[in-house]
Amino acid sequence: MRPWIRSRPVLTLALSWALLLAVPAGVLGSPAENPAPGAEFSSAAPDTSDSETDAATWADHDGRPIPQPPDWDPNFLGHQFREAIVEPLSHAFDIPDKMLFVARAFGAQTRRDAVNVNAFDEVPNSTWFTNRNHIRAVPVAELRMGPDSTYLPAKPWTITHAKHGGASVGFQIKDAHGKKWLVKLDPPGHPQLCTGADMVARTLLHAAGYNVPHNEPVRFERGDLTLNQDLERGTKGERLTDADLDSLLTKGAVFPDGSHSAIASLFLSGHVLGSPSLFRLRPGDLNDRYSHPNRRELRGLYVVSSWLGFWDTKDADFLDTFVSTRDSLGHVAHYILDPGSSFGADALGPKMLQDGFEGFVDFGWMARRFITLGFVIEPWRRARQETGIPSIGRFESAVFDPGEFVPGVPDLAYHEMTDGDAYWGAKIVASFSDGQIAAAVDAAQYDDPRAREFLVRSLIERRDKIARYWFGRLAPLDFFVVQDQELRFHDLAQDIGLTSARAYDVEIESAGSRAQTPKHVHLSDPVLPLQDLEIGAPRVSIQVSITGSGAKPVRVELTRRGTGWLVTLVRHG
Amino acid sequence: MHTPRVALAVLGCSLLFHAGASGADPRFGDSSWVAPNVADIGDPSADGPRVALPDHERRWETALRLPFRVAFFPMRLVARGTEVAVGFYGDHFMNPGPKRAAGGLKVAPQIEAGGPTEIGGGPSITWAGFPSGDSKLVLSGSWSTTDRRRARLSERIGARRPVGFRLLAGYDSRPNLRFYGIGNETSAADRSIFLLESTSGEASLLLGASPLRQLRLVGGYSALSPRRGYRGQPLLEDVFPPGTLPYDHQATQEFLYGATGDFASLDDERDPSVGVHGRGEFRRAAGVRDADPDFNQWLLEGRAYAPVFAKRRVIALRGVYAGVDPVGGTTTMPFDRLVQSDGDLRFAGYPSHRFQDRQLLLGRIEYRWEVWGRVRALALYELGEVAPQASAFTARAARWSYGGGLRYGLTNEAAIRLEVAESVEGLEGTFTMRSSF
Repeated sequence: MRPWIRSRPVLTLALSWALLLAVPAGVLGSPAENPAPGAEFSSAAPDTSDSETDAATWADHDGRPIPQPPDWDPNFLGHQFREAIVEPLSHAFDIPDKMLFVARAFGAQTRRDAVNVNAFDEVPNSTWFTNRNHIRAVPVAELRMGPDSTYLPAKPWTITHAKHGGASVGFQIKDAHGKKWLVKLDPPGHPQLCTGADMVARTLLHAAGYNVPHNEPVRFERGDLTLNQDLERGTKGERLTDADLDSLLTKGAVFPDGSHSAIASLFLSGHVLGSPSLFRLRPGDLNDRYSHPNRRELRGLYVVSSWLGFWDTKDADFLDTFVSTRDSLGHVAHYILDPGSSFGADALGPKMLQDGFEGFVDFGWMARRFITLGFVIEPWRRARQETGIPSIGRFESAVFDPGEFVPGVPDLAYHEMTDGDAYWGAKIVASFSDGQIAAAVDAAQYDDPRAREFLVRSLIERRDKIARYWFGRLAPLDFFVVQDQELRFHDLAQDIGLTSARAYDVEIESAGSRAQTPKHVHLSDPVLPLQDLEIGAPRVSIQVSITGSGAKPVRVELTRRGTGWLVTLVRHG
Repeated sequence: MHTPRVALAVLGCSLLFHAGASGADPRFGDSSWVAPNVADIGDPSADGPRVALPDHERRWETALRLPFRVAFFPMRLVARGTEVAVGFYGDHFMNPGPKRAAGGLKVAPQIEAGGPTEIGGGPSITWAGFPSGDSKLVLSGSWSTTDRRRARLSERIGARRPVGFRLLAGYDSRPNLRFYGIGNETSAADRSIFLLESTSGEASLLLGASPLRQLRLVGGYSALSPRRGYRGQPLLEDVFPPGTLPYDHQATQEFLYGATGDFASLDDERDPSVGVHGRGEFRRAAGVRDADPDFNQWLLEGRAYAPVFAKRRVIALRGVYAGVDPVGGTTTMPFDRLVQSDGDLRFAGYPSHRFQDRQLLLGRIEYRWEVWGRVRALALYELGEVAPQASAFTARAARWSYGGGLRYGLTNEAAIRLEVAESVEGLEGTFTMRSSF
């Protein structure tokens, strides 16, 4: 054999590397291949690339002042095409992914843990997420307010622009106080459909910890609207006449009294940079250093979205703004912009039956239908989603399966979600009390009392299903603290009333020079006395599981501090 | 550096717990819930540490994925290019800017594909509102890689009114049209080509607003001129010696008049699952010159749809009986005016124009089922036969085929179909956008 033939694999690999280095990294499509964010700005920017990290921090300081990144917004339709068509196809032919899938079947740990998780298995506060209800219960009155105190766009309204992009009909206004709002009409025949869904979803998302805009349900009459003169004359390239406006209003819902039903969304403060992307870090954002699909709050959003039936979580439904703080520096804030396609709603009317059950382009279900000659019965066909309530549309909780929720377009972060991420999301969902859910639904101000009753009941049922499902996969033992030489923790399923009191098995393994043989302890309460264990080692690893449960145990690490112990690590799954 | 920070934070947690532990232990989910292990969280916009270092793909994963990334890189580039194109043209389509009046003249390029080796292109001119508000004039022309030249004109007035008018005219010069001989037993080995130049025009008075429930009174003109072909081998003259085919190399011109109609009762006109649809066409052709033949041209078609326990699974049946009958003093039909297995009458699993004679029978059964939205998968079985007269049809001589494909109901008059069918002559794939069946 000639030498060059023998060395062909090496040559191939070398060629591969050469090509890899030769092409723009982003082109290859892996989030982790992004260039260091803002590398091209590094000379002028403050140093935010320090290697100082603290695994125990509760604030991931990603809001430190940086220069304003350039505007970058993925093209809406192009990105839709990529999310709905290219990525599913690409994923279908992702051979390494299949290899990893097979490896997982044999017990290999190939999934990557989320990056921004602190020592207590929580997501620290950041410009993406703020710990709220599952850490400190949000009072009902505060929860209903959402991100801001309630104030409405003062009438009369001056229309400054028509609404561009998206499926819903609407316009931009300046209210009597000069504030800018985007007004989106409900679809014809369904007053309060999108408005209600948006209000309830954004209220719960905010209480869960996500950033949302300030939205308010509004009703208005034709007489409340005037057209900006430039817009009416078309002097700035865009024209909207009274006749156009009349025609536009016919595409929206009206109440029985003739007033129009809409949601008004206050323009976010700061400079709008555009939607973030799950495929790449934001160029120029020096603080954005974790691949977005590896952020836990984006992975765990799957569980929260499944609760809300928030099936339209494409990139365009998120928005980044640059908030200036001082000397033209500032930071990027990340918002969930449009949760209106939640529960039973879609911008054009009640959602399609399959929304939330299968993707827009779902090759898996296509194949199943094809192979079975159309005799497969999809879950969405079994579900009774027709509520008969115009302001709710199509929604249900009986067939809902927390592990089978499917967004409209594939979401990279959801794809990367581990059981630990899902548990974290489920913990947030489970933290909402019945009263809080009712308060969130009240934010929609539904006229139809059936809507309130139905939605509250459905959300409670779905919450409980989510908690049972994910807490059955991972032991919901959390909030570990050492007090008076005892390790105390909460059994979340027991706390929220899903189960009665139960017992726990604890396996204690000491580490360090004075390691001892593992000890097994059986607990009838979520309290582990540490004094009696006679641990001599400086550090111990404790595995806590629920007796008789198949749920994965929780791993806790204790480190000796003086005469006592401190919890230094918690990991679920 | 890390250890003291961890210690401080943990100590903070511990102190917080001690401070809050004096009261009753709150339960998770209660209105008084405060997590016991959380210190003062702090402001992310202040100076402070990050929770983790920038993340990178794991090295072993990079090594695993690298060869595949390189191998699929060209496809990635194509996908990216398509993404950009979708973004650019999609925006123009979805947000066309200030709304223009419905009428007006529009010129656009058009591309036509007649097969893998035949791609044509040319201009298309649409004039909405000509001559009146609800009418539309379309003029188009194309020239293909096989030197096929086409021009078309269509004008519709009041297409969706109870009474409307339609004018269709066309010119088609195709230098490599296939011919296999006349009859049901012709050999595929006799495939030959000839040039057929056709000029036609037809005016219709439309009675009925819906094309699926409409009677059309038609009158028109048709000229066919078969000549020596090119862009292919063998030529018709080489396989069928001069004089063996009626009217070979002889042009014919006809005036046509008659009626056509559709009557359908369907639950869904684009994707019917229950209902029937009947079609009928009758035209009398009168020769323009003494040498031109006189004949009747007719077609009867029936379609029926029945659901299989659900609307998304459908049995669809189609039967067609078409023919031409010489009348008056005419005894021989020109070979190029016989009924051919082409277009809507093509036999699945066989090439187009494979069979032709005075009469044609076609029967098809399809099982369709929903795959994605309006896209249906289908399995088909078809029998087709041509014969010189009705009494000559025999079940044994029928040409059978079976296959499958996909169907997308585009409008109530047209569907996109991608089919692959197997016959005794092999496998044939077709992509069409024609009849609504």
